[in-house]
Amino acid sequence: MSEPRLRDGRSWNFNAPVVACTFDGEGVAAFALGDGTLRTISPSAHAPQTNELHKGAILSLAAHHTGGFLTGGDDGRVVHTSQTEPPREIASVKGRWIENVTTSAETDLVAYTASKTATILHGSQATTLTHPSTAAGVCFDPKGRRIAVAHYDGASLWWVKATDQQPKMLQWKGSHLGVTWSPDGRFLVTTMQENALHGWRLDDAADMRMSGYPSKVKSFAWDRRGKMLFTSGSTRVIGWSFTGRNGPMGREPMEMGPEREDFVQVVATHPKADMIAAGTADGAVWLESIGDPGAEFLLLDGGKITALAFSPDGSHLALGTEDGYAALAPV
Amino acid sequence: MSQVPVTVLTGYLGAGKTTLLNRILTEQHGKRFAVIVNEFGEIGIDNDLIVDTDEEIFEMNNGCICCTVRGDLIRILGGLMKRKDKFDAILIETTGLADPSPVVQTFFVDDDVKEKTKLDSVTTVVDAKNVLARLQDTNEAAEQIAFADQIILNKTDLVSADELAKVERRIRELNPLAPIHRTQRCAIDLDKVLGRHAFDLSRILDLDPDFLSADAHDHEHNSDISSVSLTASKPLDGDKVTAWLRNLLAEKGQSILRSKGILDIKNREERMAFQAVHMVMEGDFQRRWKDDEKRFSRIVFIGRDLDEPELQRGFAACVA
Repeated sequence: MSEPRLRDGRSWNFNAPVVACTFDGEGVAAFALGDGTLRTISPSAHAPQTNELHKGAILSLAAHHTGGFLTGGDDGRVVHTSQTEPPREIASVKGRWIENVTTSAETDLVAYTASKTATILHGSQATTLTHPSTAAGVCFDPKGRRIAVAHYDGASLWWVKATDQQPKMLQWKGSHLGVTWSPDGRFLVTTMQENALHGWRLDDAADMRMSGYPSKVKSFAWDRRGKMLFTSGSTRVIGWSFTGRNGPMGREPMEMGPEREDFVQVVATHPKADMIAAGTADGAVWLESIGDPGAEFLLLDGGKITALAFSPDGSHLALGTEDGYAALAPV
Repeated sequence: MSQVPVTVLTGYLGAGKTTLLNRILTEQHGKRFAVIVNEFGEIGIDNDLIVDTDEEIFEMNNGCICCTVRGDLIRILGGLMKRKDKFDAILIETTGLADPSPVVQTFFVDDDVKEKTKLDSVTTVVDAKNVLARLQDTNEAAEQIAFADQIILNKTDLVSADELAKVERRIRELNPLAPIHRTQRCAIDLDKVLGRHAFDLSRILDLDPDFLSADAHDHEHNSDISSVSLTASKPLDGDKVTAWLRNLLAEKGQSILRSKGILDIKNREERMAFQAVHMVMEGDFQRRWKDDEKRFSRIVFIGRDLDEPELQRGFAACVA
């Protein structure tokens, strides 16, 4: 097997699959691994710090809006890790996996999923929402007032503060996995078991089907203006425009980046510039400016890329692979 | 990266699946397993991983009306592959009343599952004492036997030799291909249960000693599941037989549970192997016929309400 060729930056071999990576608001990078550890590195540090957090694999990672990171594991625990305090377990569900964690800075909420439930945490107060089948994906709306949960045959929308409520059901047959709310609050989009996205315009629940992918879509990211949704699932990055009343309906999606033999696995969008990053199954990571074709390769032969994230100032890209290789590359 | 073999354990309620699982997990075998179960209860296991799940079945929107898959398995297998510590094998226990199709189809339909795992066998545990009664009063018991790549015929100490012979004849009517292992309290060598390569096209013949001699049995029974075996000694037209199989499975795939075949295609030096689970078929030219080997074609269908004369006619029309 060939060695990873990183154009510039620092790299590590963590010897366990990199499940996810992200940065917190302070620019600390975090890599969540299949051995239950979270490796964190602040911009000034020389070596990553190892935080032993979970018994099995970490399955989900999110930056916490108050600083530090949230992780969910296949040990059923949700843990908050910060640079200043020892890791703290904030929730635990016996015998279940925590496959998603997310936060809302706007309303100071945390949410996680376990089996058919999504639980919203506000301080020590917990509200558990139950669904007809496994809660496969979860996200807050941009204002943090509602929460969407993807499951079989659609998605459920709940108000985060209401008690004793029935969710609004957005229905579409099939298994919905990931979910994202458009930054302008007008659309909800899910990734599906089929090679497609499904979307709903929320004011009238009109359906939008975005298909044509050669493989399952596992990763998506909104551009910094919140108007384009970029996705994995093809040999190039596919971008759907959500401007106008009809969003992507009746328009061809945008294709970006070089045509590779293997599929794009992960996408990330630059927080300050019109730029996207993508990682492929054959171990390439590239950058390309939106509307200015010509990709710049940051990594080649890296093994299957499983995680990508831009730092908050956009100066660095964190990346990780299935084989446990991880790097921080200057952009 | 090598694919982790997966064994699916089915069997009607009380047949002994849990006993078999407990044996597998507590035996000293130096292997590391992940076991996916429904409601296992509390047992102390050091080395292995038990994952509790709810069977969640859904229909794929791919135009295939019978293509139901287990979404929970797709997620769990994906999660297991993220762990640093890998497994030698994965066992999936289905509930006693489950139809095995969705779990099996999951391994043909999802690309991530296909990349990281491979189905090793569907192993059905059958209770020698009660199976004839269950075949009378349920559909699932017959389906689980018909679907099996191998059968563990358990509780043989609770029946007489005559009864046992009768049970085996009945099993053979439903499934002429699967080897039968007789056991008491599910005592069986692990090596016999695991590592069967039942879905490996290159081993379809090697695997089933009965495949060559498999024959359709008399249909004097009250279940509607049966098997039909078709043979041709002349080479087949490759295009015709492919089209016939494709149409047949598209039309009748809901009632055809399993099919397997070795085909001698005209003007080809390699033999073709195929197998299907309902409508989901895979087939390929697989190896050269050996010089001293008798060339022939044989297909076995196991399913419900099979129309043998019609299958015979369709197959005969494919001879080149």
